[in-house]
Amino acid sequence: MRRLFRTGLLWIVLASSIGLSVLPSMASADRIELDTGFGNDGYSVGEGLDVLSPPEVFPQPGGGLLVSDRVGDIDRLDAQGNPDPWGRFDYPVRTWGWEPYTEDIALQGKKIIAAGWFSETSADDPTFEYQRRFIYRLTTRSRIDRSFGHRGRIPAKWDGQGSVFKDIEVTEDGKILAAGGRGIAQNPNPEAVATITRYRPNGALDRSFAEKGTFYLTRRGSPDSFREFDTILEAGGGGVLAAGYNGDRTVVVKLTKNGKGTAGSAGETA
Amino acid sequence: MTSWRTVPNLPCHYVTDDRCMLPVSMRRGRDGQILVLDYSYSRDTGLSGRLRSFSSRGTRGKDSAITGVRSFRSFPDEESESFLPSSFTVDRRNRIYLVGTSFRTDSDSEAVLVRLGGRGFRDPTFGAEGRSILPLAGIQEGRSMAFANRRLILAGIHNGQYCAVTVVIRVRFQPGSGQPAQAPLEVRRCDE
Repeated sequence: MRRLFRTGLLWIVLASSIGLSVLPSMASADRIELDTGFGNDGYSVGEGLDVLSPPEVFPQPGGGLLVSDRVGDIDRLDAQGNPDPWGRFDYPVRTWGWEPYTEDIALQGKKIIAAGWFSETSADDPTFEYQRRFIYRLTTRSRIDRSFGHRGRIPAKWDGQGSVFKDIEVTEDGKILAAGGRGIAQNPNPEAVATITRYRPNGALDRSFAEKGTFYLTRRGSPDSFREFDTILEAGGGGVLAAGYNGDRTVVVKLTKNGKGTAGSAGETA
Repeated sequence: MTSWRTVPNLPCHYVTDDRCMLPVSMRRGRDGQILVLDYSYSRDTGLSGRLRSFSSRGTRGKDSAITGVRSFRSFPDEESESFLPSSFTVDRRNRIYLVGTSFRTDSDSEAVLVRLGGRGFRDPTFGAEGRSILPLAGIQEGRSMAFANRRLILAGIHNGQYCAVTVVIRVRFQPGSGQPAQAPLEVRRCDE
């Protein structure tokens, strides 16, 4: 009886192990094909762009899409991939000055937030360029939302070389987290520090966050080469996660809801 | 001695003589882990992307915000091609999709979609060993992606003879394996 039991047990173990090894190969394979119900036979072509203006796609509630390029223009596509000519936003270069390098867009409710930077030549030294960072907001009809910040955008003050916004995140309560860098010294020794800035939903600086609205990484002992955060994410419980490159490795920083915390590095390097 | 320089056509801000590295994006996995995509460039190995996974809690200390690296995957795994990742997203089954540009030579590239399992391994049940070209010819650079209404949207760049344009496609998943058939892309204003 005991021998029978052992033999049965052996067969069960054998069958289980064979079954487990077979399972992955039984998983159904799939591949992609063009969805011809979208746009023109499966694709939609945007306006002429240069190679340095890579697009970002951003889904909208209701199935539409926002397609932004890095010179600040934003197209709208409906759920079927057809462009909405009335929904296009052309960045007002003449009104706002230099052509921008728009890094990221996000939705604040149904409104569009865009962030990035532009370069400007120094009036004192034509060979010296510095950067200004910006955020602007559009209405649901892709018009400049003049109720936001200063006539639609957050003023781009002179910040020095290396002042950029690289990524934004809109929190559940509508505040805007902006990751990037800020210049702190002028030519010939330009220097920038990695920053995370939080704005209130109306574009005003949220001075309750970190140090009067901005978290500066280098003030907490990071290497000089850490000049910007490249990506940001709202963490659970209202905290903030941001990642950047410190000259040697990718660094992830976690802050509390109020922008307090310590910086450090984690992960493997190349 | 390290000298700083710029590599043309690469979104690298910090480039030394032999390497460059930059975080691209960060997202949360379905089980709460933190995923960070970055890439590096070196003269010897070209471009390669990495996806790092951190635990959701992390350990906050005096000099360390997050610990707990769970996985570290490079891709492409065994191929010698250079790969520049641009964007990634996670589906409802915690599978990770990456879109980027695969360079065969400096002037010959194509957009590529890669699918990984939740633990970072290439998913062999997708495309050709977890990797797929796009089902539309002529997209030389894969740039952005998102799920919209459970459908995968991909955006890339077509470099034509006279100009470059953004191309947005929507794909669907079909049973089968291997590379998809490629439909022709017509952008007359750039190619004629």
